[in-house]
Amino acid sequence: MAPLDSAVTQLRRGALEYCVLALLADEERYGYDLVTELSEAGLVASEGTIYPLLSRLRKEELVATSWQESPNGPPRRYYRLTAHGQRALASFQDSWSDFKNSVDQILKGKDRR
Amino acid sequence: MNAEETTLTDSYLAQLQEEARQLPADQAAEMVADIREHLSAATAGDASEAHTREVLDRLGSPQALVAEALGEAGNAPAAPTPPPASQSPYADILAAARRRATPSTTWSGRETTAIACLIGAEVGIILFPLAAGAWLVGLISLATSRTWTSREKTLGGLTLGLGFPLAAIAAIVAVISAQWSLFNLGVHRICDFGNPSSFNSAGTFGLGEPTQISLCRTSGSSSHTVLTALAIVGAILLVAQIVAVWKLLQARHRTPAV
Repeated sequence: MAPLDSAVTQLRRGALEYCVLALLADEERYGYDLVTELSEAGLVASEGTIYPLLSRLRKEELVATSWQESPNGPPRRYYRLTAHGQRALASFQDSWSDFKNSVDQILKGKDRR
Repeated sequence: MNAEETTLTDSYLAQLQEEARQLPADQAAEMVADIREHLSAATAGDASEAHTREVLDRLGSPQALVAEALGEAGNAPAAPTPPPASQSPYADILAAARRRATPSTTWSGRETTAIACLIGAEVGIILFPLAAGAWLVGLISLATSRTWTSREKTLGGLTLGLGFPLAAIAAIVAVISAQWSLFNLGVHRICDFGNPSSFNSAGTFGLGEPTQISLCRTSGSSSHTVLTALAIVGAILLVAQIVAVWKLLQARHRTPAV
């Protein structure tokens, strides 16, 4: 991935955890699946850095994990969204929507004054 | 997986372990376990050296991972928020979430207390007040556990939690049936003393033989039935409890040791 300017990097960092929550909104997922999807979407430079984020989300009770037996190998961590996480995600979706529209308007040069 | 790939991932994990010493022990252990799981999943389909290198590249260096973890830990207020002033809502959400107590997901004394108290309550039913107290302590510990999921708590509550009430009921029934037996003995004495034949010949007593026998038999057999039923329920519950305790103990592995 090409080096990014710091504003976009910051945006990514801010939005990344809500992307994790959004990926869990419909179904529970293995950690590895979350990581690969985010990586393929171009949202992280290195996949490993998502794990500390997941760990923090777990501590903050936005997600919860359980151990699931997997067909080949040891039990794996299975992530799911908590009620708290659902509320946080919904709130972010509103905020993000407003933010996106504001920035778009300004970038398109509409005079808001 | 041949020796090449095993060495690659082992070497990576060893570096990660070393780097992670900057983190608190439980966080370090968790991270190494997560990464180990990741590598295992990533190389499951293709364990060749080339693919393993690619996986490790995408993963990032041990230094990068630990730096990120340190960053998260020091990230007490919200992660850097985008410029527009109106966007404080999710910063507030993050801050509020962080204000909550950090739960430990590892096995603690609470879990041990829950299991020990609930089992102790049903086993030590003789010491009723003590057992009742232990039962309450056990239930509260079970309910407030941070290690067990709701499902596990429900399982524990329905099996271990019911042990004490069932034992209490059994004890009460046993006491009642013991008293009934004593009563029976008394009735028998009266029955024997005034035996049927003498009653019938007297003709004035309402107590005929059939009534007498049914009185003497009914109480004995009904408590016998109840105790048998309780024993069956108890046996089923015992099996259920063994299964429940086994499942609850699985939580001990929840924070994987390195």
